[in-house]
Amino acid sequence: MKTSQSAYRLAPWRKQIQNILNVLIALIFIASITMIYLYCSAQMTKMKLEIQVLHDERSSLTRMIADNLTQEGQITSFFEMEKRARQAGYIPIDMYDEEVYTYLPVAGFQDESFSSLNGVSQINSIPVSIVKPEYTESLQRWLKENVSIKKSGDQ
Amino acid sequence: MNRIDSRLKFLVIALSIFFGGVFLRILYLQTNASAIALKESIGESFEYMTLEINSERGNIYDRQGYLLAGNSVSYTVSLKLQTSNTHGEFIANYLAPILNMDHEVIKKSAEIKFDEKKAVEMPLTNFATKEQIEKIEQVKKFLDQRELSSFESKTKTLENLDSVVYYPNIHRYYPNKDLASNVIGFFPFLNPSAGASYGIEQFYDEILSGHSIEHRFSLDPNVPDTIPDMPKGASVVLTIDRKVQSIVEDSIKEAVVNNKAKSGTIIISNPKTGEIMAMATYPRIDPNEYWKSSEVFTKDNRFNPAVMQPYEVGSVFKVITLAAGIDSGAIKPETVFNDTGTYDIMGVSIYNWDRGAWGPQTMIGCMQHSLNTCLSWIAEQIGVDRFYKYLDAFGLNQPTGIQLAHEEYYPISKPGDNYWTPISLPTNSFGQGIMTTPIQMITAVNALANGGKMMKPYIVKGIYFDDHAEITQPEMIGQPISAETAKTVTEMLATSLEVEASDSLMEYTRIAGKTGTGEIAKEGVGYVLSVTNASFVGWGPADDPQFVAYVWLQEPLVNIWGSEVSAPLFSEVMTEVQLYLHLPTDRQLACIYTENCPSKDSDEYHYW
Repeated sequence: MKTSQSAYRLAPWRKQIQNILNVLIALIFIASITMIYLYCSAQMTKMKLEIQVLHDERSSLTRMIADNLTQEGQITSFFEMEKRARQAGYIPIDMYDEEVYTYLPVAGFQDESFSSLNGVSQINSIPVSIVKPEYTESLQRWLKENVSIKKSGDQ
Repeated sequence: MNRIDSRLKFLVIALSIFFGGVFLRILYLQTNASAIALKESIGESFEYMTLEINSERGNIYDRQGYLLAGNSVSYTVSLKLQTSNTHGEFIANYLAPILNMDHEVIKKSAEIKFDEKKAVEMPLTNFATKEQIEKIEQVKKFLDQRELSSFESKTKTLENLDSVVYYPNIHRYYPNKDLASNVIGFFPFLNPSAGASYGIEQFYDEILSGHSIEHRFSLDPNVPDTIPDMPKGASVVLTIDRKVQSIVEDSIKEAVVNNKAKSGTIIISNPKTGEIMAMATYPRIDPNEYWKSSEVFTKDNRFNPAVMQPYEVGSVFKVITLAAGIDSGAIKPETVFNDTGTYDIMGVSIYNWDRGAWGPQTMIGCMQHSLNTCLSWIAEQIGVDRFYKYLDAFGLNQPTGIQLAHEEYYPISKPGDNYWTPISLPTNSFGQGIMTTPIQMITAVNALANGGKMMKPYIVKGIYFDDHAEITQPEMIGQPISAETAKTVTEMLATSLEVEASDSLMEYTRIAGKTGTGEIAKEGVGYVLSVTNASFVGWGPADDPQFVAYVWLQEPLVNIWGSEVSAPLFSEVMTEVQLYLHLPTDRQLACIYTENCPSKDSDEYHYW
């Protein structure tokens, strides 16, 4: 009885297609990883750009606030106020002529003490960063800090 | 087929070797120390940029909340030399009128030869205003929009203002110019690393300046980076009132100029709390032009003489000796001293200021005529040890601790010290051979005006941090004399002042006080009468003192006497200032709280 025996386990064209598919699968896998990486990178870059724009705005606002406060100080400076008062027709009181002013005790009146300083305490400072540390530190550092905190907490 | 297989095998092996090599190289670069160092050094240069970040400097306010020192935005305008070289004339034509700068200066700056290592950018000014920057922007826009002919576009395309760049920066600004500049000090905004100088600016430099850090910014856009939180420096609120300060400054300036004095100082304080309500000196500078300080101030004429310049105060010091004498029981107001015109000690004669002999005098008479002989005798009655203990108790042998930079004091020589001799006791008793600053004197006199309780002087009402405020609380630092002594001395000096220096009296408020004309010792000559320190210290209302004022004119040439220059200055200043301190006159109080309102011409209101 004559038996026929195949020279190949798989037909060469099949084997080639299989190889091509394997390579394609590997490429698709790599491309997927790359796409995810690129997507994350793009997101981070976008976020960073937004952060930088906000920082610029913040710096600009800080400068503007400082400048406006000082301009207000300039406009209300003693010399400017005195000049405007004179222009408006006010004249300095003759302190030697007691008739031109009267001292009146007012019940319930409180000395200026600190009431007039309320505005001072509300001076705007640079706002706190809105980006949480978790977004700016590496996983390694996060683990290190949290592990060390837990360790010290345990003690 | 076999040939193809062998080629494929060869390719696989070759690629494996190649990638293996790459892998090993990467491994080597990741682990080798020198490779890591190289990578880091390259990273430092190209991946990171280190910048110093300073938080905004805190403001300084007067007690009413008016700004005395703040921050203003200005712009540094620079030229990028790489592109400005070719058209300096063109740039200067546009920039000179906008920046109010010399045309030639801009042209020369623009034409400085570009050198990548030495000359890249040339700053023109650090203080361009926002309006000037807006004008530059308008011109740039106009130049960008102009239509050029084909010929012009070939020849003039480079003639624009693209090389003009600007950067915003914050600098210190003092809106009230020289008002209270001796108290505020200054921050050298042209050279910030030099740090603040004098006054509040230097004393509180650390908390005013907030935080300063060096931060490494990544140049890799994939590395998110944020500027660390930088809270603004704390703001400082002073106890001085700018209106009062202005009145006092105007008066001291006028007095210094009219009397051709070297300098002048006036301090007004609240004896009940130690608050400084005004501290004026002349000369002063506008801290916006702080570089002039080296031209104006010398070691004999300090930035703020009120705290930085000890001097021999002369007869003003007699109030301390008198108080010590009364408090120790060595003398009483009615004790009589027979003035023969001299007081002899160890062969040295001490004379009165007029070399006269005034005969039998009560202690009030001694103060009325400001007798050196009498005060020398009082000091002897007190005793050496007790006398210097009183000076220590009055805080005259130590700085007061006021919140101003460079407070000075001159240590008092005591028995056992090298420079002390038995003659020191009598001379010290009338303010010679002993040096104090005006702030030390007013602190000591505060005790006389506040029932014997000496309050620590303070000029900062509060400090406002980002998250909390610290309010200065009045602090009693001692009680050198009893309340009874303080009252007695005040009454004695109110009476004596009416004779000694009637020019110092206030129209409708009774005050106590003492004049002083301290001779100045010149090197190699000794004490010279023609060169003096003219001083006056006064407090009132005598019944319940609400203010103490100290006046000092250094070396007045027109009139050397404290009773004739400093005393009337005190009266003038306090009459004007009293209303702004919310203090009624004695007559006003009498009108309000008694049935009879004394007439303006009577002096009944003095004793209501």
